[in-house]
Amino acid sequence: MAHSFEASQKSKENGMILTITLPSLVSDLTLLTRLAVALLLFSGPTVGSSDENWPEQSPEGYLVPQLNPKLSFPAAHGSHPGYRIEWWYLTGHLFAKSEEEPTRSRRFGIQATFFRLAQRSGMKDVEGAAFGTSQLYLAHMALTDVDGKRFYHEERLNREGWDASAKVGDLDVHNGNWSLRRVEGLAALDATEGSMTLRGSILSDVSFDLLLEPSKSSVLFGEKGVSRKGADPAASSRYLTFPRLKGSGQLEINGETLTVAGELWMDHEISSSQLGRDQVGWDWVSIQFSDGREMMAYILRKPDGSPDSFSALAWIDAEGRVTHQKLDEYEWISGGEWKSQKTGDVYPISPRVIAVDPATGERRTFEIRPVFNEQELTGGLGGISYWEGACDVVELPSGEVVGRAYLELTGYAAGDDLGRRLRGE
Amino acid sequence: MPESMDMAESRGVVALLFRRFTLRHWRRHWRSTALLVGILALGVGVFLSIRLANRAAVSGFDLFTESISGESDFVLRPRAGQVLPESVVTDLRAAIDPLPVVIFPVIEATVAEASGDTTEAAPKQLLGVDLVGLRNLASFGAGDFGDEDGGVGFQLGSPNHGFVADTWARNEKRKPGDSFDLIINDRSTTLTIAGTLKDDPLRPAVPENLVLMDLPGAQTLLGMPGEISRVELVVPPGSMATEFRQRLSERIETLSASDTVLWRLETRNDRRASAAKMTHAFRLNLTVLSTLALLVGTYLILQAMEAAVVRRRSEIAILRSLGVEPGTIRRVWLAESLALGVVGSAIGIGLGWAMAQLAVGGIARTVNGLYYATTTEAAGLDPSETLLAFTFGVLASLLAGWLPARDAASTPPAQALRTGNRVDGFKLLQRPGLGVLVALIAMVCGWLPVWITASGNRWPVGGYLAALGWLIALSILAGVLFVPLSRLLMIWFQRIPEACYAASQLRRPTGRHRLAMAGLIAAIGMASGMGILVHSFEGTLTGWINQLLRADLYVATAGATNATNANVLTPTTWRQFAEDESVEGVDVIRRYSLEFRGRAIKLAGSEYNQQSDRRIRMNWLQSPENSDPQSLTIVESDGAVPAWVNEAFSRRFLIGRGDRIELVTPRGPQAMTVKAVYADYSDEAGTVLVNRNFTAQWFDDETVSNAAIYLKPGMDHEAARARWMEKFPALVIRGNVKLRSEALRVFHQTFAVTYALEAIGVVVAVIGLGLALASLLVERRNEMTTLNSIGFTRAQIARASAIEGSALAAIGLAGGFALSLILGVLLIYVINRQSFGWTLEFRVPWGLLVGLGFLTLATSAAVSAIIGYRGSQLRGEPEE
Repeated sequence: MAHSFEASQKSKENGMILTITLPSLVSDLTLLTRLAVALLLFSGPTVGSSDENWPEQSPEGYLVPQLNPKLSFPAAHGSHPGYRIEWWYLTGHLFAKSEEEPTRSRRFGIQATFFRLAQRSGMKDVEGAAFGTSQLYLAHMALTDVDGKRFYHEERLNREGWDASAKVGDLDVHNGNWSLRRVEGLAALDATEGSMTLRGSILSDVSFDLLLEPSKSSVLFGEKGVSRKGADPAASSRYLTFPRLKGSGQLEINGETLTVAGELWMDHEISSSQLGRDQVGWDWVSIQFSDGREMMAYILRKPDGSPDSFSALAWIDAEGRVTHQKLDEYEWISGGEWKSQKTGDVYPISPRVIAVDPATGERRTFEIRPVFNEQELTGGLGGISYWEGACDVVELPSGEVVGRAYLELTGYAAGDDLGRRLRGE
Repeated sequence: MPESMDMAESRGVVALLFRRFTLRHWRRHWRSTALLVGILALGVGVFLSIRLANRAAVSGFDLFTESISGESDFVLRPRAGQVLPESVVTDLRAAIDPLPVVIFPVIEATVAEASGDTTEAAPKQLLGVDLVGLRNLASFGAGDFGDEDGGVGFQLGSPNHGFVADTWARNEKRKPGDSFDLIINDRSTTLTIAGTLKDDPLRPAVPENLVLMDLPGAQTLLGMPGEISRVELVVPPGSMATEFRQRLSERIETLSASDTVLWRLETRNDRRASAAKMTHAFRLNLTVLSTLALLVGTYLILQAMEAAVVRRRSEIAILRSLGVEPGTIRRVWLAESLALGVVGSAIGIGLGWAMAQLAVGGIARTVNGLYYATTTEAAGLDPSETLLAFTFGVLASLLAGWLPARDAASTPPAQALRTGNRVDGFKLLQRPGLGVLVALIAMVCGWLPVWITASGNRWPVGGYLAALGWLIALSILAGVLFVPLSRLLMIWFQRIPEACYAASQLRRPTGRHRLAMAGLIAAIGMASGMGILVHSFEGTLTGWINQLLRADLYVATAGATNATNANVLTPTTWRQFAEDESVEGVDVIRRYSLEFRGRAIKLAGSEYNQQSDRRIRMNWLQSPENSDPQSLTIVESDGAVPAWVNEAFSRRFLIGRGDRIELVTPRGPQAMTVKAVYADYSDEAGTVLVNRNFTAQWFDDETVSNAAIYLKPGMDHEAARARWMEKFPALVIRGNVKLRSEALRVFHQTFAVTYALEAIGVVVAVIGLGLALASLLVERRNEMTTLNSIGFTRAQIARASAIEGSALAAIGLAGGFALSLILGVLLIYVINRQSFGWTLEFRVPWGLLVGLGFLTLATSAAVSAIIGYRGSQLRGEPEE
């Protein structure tokens, strides 16, 4: 693990700079943020491995997701502390009716992520400990005010205990005043009955309280219920996704309270593995098409910029059936360079994805177009900046908007070798 | 229009006269001008330094803790005792959900850094915070981490690792990975330096005595699992921060209205106010003392300005005869006073700041000893205090210039120019009737009750007004002594011409005589009055200590160096003393901080030994029916617990024997019946004393704050002490004599600042006397010429001057001593009782007064003789 991490932010208006050493802690934070997304990317179908040799534990002693799991719900939505890392990752698009112009809606992009990272395998805190050390919880919240052209974000880190925890056996995750909780139902993988609440805030600028109800059932990515990340069978995850959640509730922004409604995407992924040696970052997108289908696609970038063979794409049809496509079946063309004024980093924020539509067999080209450029999370606690934002999906060459997307671009921070960090070098 | 032209013209004349009249004088007589400015600067400097040092001493630690968490919007502290269960943060989160508020628990304790000699152990402030959660504050501007010198094996929750101030580490030549020893409660423990906290030029400095730890580690180290000291609440910045803060405030207030809630709310302002409130009485006394110093200074400025007026009477007369209006002359004098005031005050501010740096250490030690831990080492130049001192200085100077200028300007030119004419000068002090009236008013003021402000501060306004009134009254009334003293001199020394000459001067005292006398009265009165207070205090305290300290050895932890420490003796430790075969009996006491009627008080649980014949003897103000401490174990039929309260408690809350009180403890409200009121000079907040059995139950706590040990007859105290010191290296064990001397040392330390002020007052007054005589001689230079011509030698004139000066000093001393007795009575029976709640025995420090008297007389005689000797050469103005 890296022991030379330096927190990037120093001077602030209030308070003093405490120059102190927390090597293991900060490197874990760094790892946590990126690893979460990295694991997500490694979850496509990869090379085969015999079922007999499938390990139960990673070399570090963490659990490894098993083939053909017998999942029980709603427990599967809850926490799994025997695995090294776990996250609940929500992105989506919300709309508010404007009082001045009832025919027009105000549009917002929203990101809410809850991470859990075990500190050492088998480590347990005293039952009910208020300040535990077994788990750390990182969380990010971001809101894109499309009309107001403003991007709000906040990061938060807490230890297992009184102010952050994730319940085992049910979906109940919280970090300070941010929370994601199951209200009712969601009692099977294909259940569409049920709901969750998502509460969050961004500093004292934004506060929201949303009810989330699945418009279609959840899906489990990967063959035999396991999403493989590499040749080593231990490098795999369990990847459960709600591709379309109907969201509704209240959004308070700069003193204005709005009633909002829209659609969100939620990933819940559990793993214990590390990354390979030859990746420096990744580009990821989740698309909700207007025709009721969805797509999830990513490429893992090698140092020379070429995509790794673990890269993957998946179509989800209106009934929730998943079609996986390998790297040789689709193309990811980077484009639309944007340079951040804050960090100086350059991101390809308008990529094109070219893939065969399983419904028609036609090759289609989609351009992912950001609602505006400035949607960079400038790395508070994790120390690394990345770009994650609300986009429209434009089909080419017609130019027709065929859906909405959330795009994530990582590993573009200057001088930062994300892969090395993630491998703890 | 003509009117405005007149005004413009008048302004032009004032400016012209200021240049020709004032500036020329300043140039020619730069020494006396410099002295005048110096006196003013001294007055302003003393006033400012005391206030600055004060402010710095009481605000020290707050500044730093605030800077770690940023400025917390709210702080929740225990309603009873020192600690809160950590579960309050969970309840709080649920209660305020989903408001975006960072809830930041803190554990805090004063511990000691172990060194060879435990009695000299340096206090350290141990702060336990959630080092993970602290990062969240960084994202909006506080508590940021950097990273230095990694790899010292720090793990979250470690009770063996702490972060220390970089300045301390450098001074002590330690680096991360090194270790140091701390004394916590009654044991010594070793901490490894996990990292250092660096100063930033833009922030308050990291206190050198800070040890920062991860909260659970600190809990383990302090032996306080599951406990925290306070909770800070921070609303993140943003466009809705004010709105969220308001919502938070409403919810917290609703919660805090409940009886079951364990905490009390404190806002940022409350917190500052509470530090200020704790030391309110102490600061008030210092402020009044510094005001008195300034008052003496004002007298002096008055004298100096008057002397200047006298010296320049002929100039004034010439201006008058040239047709300059009296009003214009007054304005020129006022402009001069203003200029002197501004320059003197400006220098005084620099002087005050410098003196504050010297005084702050002393005041900080006092605050540490009496109130709470402070770490201040330097005083800042606070703008509001500076402005106050500056205004005070300029106003005093204007007043001092205005009174003599008014007299001078209204004197007809012919009279002013007439040589050899005596000038009565300053008239205020020549009206005995006024003196009697002021004395009567002062007498009435002395009977006024204490004024309690809305915030609960106690201001003995009547007492202070009475002191000021008596000061003025005696300054006027002592003037009646001039004539009888002059007669006495004539009768005793009728054959000595110098004495006769001096007596003739005193028979018709001028305004200058009276002013010099008044200055002396104020200074001597103030110095001796404080002397009486200190002596009475010391006498009372010694008597009280003798009654209280009857055991042979006293045991406390080395960390217990101030009034709010949380260091305790664990039951396993203190019971070992009780069970030791050389011990006859042990008294133990445990103190807790509590709130009663919204004010901080102490609850003490005591257990007195039953074996030894020597017992603590209380000094009763309202004696109990049964003075045996065992009577405190018997619960009344209605369940109320018997309690003794100290005088401060009784006076602050107007509670006496037979009254019922209710205190909120962690086990809920407890009813008590007050059985007696006892004298206690260690505490001004108020203490309720019950049997330790009750506090042990209420706080679920068997620890004690300290123990007093009675050895069996014939046992060697020193041997026992040495044996135990070896066994318990983290304890401070003091012998009876040592503890007494320590108590008195703390006492003298407390009054160190007072002594300095007294000395300044007397020096200023003697300078004033010299100034007055010098100006008298200037005024009498024609007489000097005559005396010379009739054969008076220089030595004779010097002797005459010495006799006159001594006589003046004698009158000043008589008035000053009378004033000191009155001030002593006021300080002891009115001001002290009203602000501290302590009854003192009235004791006069005769030795000090006699010494002060001789010193003043001798200095006055010497100064007067020198001035007479030098003045005898003054040549008279030529007769026209």
